[in-house]
Amino acid sequence: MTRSSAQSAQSIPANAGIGLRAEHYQDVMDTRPAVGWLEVHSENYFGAGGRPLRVLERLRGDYPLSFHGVGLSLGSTDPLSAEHLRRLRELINRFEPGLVSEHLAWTSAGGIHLNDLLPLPYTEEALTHFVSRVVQAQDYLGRRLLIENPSTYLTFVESRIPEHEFLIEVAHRSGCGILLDVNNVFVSARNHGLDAAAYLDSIPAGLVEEIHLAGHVRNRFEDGEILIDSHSRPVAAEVWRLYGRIVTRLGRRPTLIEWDADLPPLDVLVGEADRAERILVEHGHALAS
Amino acid sequence: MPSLRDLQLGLLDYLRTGRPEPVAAAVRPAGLAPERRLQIHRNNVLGSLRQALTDCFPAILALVGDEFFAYLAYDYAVHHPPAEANLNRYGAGFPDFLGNHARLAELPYLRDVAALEWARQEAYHAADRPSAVLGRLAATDADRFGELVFLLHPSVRLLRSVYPALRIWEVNQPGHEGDQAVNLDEGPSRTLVARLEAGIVCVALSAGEFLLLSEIAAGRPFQAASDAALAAQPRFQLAESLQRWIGLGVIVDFS
Repeated sequence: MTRSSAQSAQSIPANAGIGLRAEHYQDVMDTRPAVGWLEVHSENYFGAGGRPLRVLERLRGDYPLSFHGVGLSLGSTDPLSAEHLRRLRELINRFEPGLVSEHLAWTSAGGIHLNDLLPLPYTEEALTHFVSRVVQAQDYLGRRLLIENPSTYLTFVESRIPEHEFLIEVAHRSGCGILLDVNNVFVSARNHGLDAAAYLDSIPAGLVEEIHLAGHVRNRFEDGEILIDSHSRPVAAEVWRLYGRIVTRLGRRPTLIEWDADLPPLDVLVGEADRAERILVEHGHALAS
Repeated sequence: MPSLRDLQLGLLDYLRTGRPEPVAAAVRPAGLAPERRLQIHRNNVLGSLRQALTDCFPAILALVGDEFFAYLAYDYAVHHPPAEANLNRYGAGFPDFLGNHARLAELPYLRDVAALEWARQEAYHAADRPSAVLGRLAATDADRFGELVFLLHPSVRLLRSVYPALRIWEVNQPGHEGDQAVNLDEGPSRTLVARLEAGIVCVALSAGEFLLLSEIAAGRPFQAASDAALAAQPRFQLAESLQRWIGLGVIVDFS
């Protein structure tokens, strides 16, 4: 079942935005960079008070906000954390973000939280479970969620459903939207010998409400290499090309530059956003669907 | 075929122990070996947990060095993994973990230095509370002062150590210049940690100040709190102290 998105104070425009990191708080407040919107990790604002919340209050007037969660652990077989949901709902009600998103992954089991996005087997059991969790969370939060495709480093023997089909089916059954991370598609495709372009082409335009772009690193071993979704580098050339491809098909979408580690100065981040914006302008003419 | 729950508990077990069997059997062996693929996740988990502790306890890192800190971070992650998604709370158990650690018996002051750093972390995220006290005090009869139960800012933490923990913390701050030697017999430290206008502060307290604030924190009326402070430190400057804490925003209200 679906819920219409709560009409938020500022919905996210189909422009490029940046992730707001604590290290950049002062620079963002001082310089108010010309980006379309800001995205934050929801859990970083779970404290009772202090600088993070104060900064968010200051900036919300100037930028539409998007909340990106990493710890709700929708894919886990542990019960959803009541405390986590409660705090998230409080934050949503207070800040009225234009978008709220989470991951096709799990981050906890047996009461232990692992601070890494862990992979799901793509089975009917996992699909049914994940859909019910999305529905549960959307009902509680009173919001439609966007679910992000993961970066994966392994696949399970028992997986039967291709990942893109799994994600699309989650969206159809739960009414959620899709946050399409182009870097994750590229990384996963390389790690498993799949076709990134075909994956991207398969996602129905109407389901995609946000795009993420990020950097990755390459780890080489004797028996092969693997790409790691480190969010610690500029967006790679191949990922920019794939982004151009998806924007040509979909039209404009809110696009986030996601850089979480080895942070550059703010203007480098803004430079990446500017590049995304140019692609949106140049290629994003497809009619909205 | 394992159930989803079995698979997740199996992967959890691997992440904690590093033993790839049996979960590796569930991983498709294509290209890179399953063990290598699983290792990516283990590195992510342990790496990010270590980073969380590094961010929170830089003085401990300086005191024990990179290698031993990495070992402690690993040990803590395996035996005290996070119980919630909010990593800002992850280090709460680290001071006691250090205090009880079999290999740290020679460094008994680590626990109290870590407690200081943890108090700073808690202060950073504590609730806001603007001060209402000056206006309200002005409207209160002076002979009622003794009954007043003052309220401290939610970020305030009061710490006591038999070691000079504050001094040890100070000389192990990044960028500290000058002598790093601290005489462990310097005597006990009493420290206020709080988030004030200027930011997070660590302030050394006299015996009287510590007692005054502790009693207030415990909800005692001002008269009782003052008596305790003066008993501990007969020359304690009560009025001056009260003014200081109100001025700084450490005392924010009263009932």
